[in-house]
Amino acid sequence: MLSRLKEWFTTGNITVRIMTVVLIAYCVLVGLVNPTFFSLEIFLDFVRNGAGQAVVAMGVLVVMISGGIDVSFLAIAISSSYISTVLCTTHGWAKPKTFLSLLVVMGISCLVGVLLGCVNGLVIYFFKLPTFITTLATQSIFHGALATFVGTKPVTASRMPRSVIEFGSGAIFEFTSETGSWYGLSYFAIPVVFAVGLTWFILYGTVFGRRIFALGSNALAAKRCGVNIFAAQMFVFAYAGFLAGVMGIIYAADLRWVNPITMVGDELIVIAAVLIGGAKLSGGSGSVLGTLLGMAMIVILRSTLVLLGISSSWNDFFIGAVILVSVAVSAWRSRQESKAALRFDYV
Amino acid sequence: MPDDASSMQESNKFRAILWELRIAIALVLICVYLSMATDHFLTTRNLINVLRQVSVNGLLSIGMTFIILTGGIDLSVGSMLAFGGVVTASFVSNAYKDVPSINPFHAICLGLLAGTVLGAVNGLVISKMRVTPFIMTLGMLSIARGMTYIYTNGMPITDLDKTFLQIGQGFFEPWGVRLLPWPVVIFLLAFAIAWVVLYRMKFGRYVYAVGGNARSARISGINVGFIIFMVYAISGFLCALAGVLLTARTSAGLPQAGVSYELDAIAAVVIGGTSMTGGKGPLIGTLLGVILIGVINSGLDQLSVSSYYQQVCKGLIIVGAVMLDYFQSDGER
Repeated sequence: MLSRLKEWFTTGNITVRIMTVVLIAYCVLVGLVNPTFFSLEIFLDFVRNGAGQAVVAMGVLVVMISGGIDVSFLAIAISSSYISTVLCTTHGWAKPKTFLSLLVVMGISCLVGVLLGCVNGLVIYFFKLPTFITTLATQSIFHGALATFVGTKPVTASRMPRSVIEFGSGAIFEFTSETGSWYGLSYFAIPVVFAVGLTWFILYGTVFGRRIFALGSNALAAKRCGVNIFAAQMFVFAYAGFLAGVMGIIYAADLRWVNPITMVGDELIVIAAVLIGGAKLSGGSGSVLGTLLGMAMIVILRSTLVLLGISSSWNDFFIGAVILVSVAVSAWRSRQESKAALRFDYV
Repeated sequence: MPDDASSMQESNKFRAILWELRIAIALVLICVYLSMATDHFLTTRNLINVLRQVSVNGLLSIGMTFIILTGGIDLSVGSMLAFGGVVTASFVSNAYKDVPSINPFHAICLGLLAGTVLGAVNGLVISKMRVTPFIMTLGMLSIARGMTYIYTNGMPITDLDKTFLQIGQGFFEPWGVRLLPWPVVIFLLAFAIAWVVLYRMKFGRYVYAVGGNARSARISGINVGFIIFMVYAISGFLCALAGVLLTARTSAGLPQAGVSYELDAIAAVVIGGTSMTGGKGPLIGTLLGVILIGVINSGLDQLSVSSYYQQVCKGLIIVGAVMLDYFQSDGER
């Protein structure tokens, strides 16, 4: 066991290795300062808090590997969850508190997400537009269109499908703590495992996944090798939209409230997590494990500064610092690697 | 046939001029429509109001133009704006006890310095450590916002010096004639200086050269790193200036000021015809882009169109502008 661990540590992806060490070191530090940190309850809370962002981070990862970026996923998530919950409540499709009705809500949400993702993909493919600007624009278009054409009235807990509420409040298994309150592993862990597993399979287990990497590394070479650029590009944006649909329902279940007007959450945090995890904006690199660790780092950092006795005013500062340090380290490393070559790629 | 050729040349020339003026034409058309559709659009008071509203975004967009011309991007403008604003506010406030109240002019200088330092850090890391601008400024977006919250403890800084507020609320009155609000004057002045720097100085040529092809710029003897460093520092300075104006206009140093302002600034630059890959784009286009966004926002308000339509509109205009760029470059190929 120990030797296998050692083997993984000497041969594995360097970003993942560094991050594992840093994450463990940070957790030990927090635990030393504040022993309450080492509890199952806090760990399970991390899973619940980070679930939505972890799911959508997988979609963003796939887009980034293909050489693009998607900043519209938050607008997609809100649009899809709002349309889905409104449809289900007005038509009474998701009345019973069953797994099937949750699947209906989730399915509609994902369908809307895929459609909006396809809009991104189509515009970007056919007009060869820069992905950042396009998704920036579609973000405001999706969000504005939702409020204009669908509605602005929030869906409250009393009107929301019971299955969604149950999804947010229930747990796969539960414990009762010493103080009498209960805690457990939230149902949110299921979509996370699903998203991570599916992304892992697509990226590392299929030829199509290899093609996405190829597209991101060198689009022209990929095209000459017979990669269907259209299919790959459509797929990555549709997939990001699909996972954004899942995230929308997770947020709805978590907050018990879908407000089409305000954008809850922070899309830059998700992009930061993917970047910390070793993805490059130029495409062609990135890993599922790294992204998960990046997400874990941000979620843990955000909720443990208080345990260290640092005011929450410092949150943003530390998150930014982590982004910079991690990127600086990888920039320094790639510079070491190509020191011999003269490079002028400033931009 | 020579006649045909010359007429074709004429028509090509005409089309080229039309293309150059596309934003101005769009702006004029919108203004004509708005002045017919609403009673208040074409009044001096309203036009001055529009200008005052766009001056903050205008300052950010000038810096953003420099950066996008070099092929970079700055996502941290909103956060640097907030930091520059609260630093200045803290020195002119009677309520903020951690630092002494000083002469408003010195306070403004300190705020501008704070913003410039943040921008310079961006530039230094991007040019020396070769971190991608997107990521560096994404990090700075968090860091500068965090510093703003730490500095203010998350509370707005109020009770500001009365003379300081003049710079945001007062008017420029040469010889007793009430001419323009101070923010507009400062914005136009900054624009004029930026124009001179970009088109009448070596530095400006270098900015275009670096964005066009960093490698050949380097080989031609341009200090590429220095140019990159400078554009980010300039952006930091202009953001802090915008922060000072916003603070004076709202009478408070708000730590949450300027959230997602980077989107409007990028939109203005892109609408203005500056290419995201760098090296191409007119500064005057940015001015028109800034005014276009301001006019649309204010016009749709007056037509009492919901603000959600405005969002859709802005998004469509951005996509439209980038698409036009695509068709144009397609024609060149």
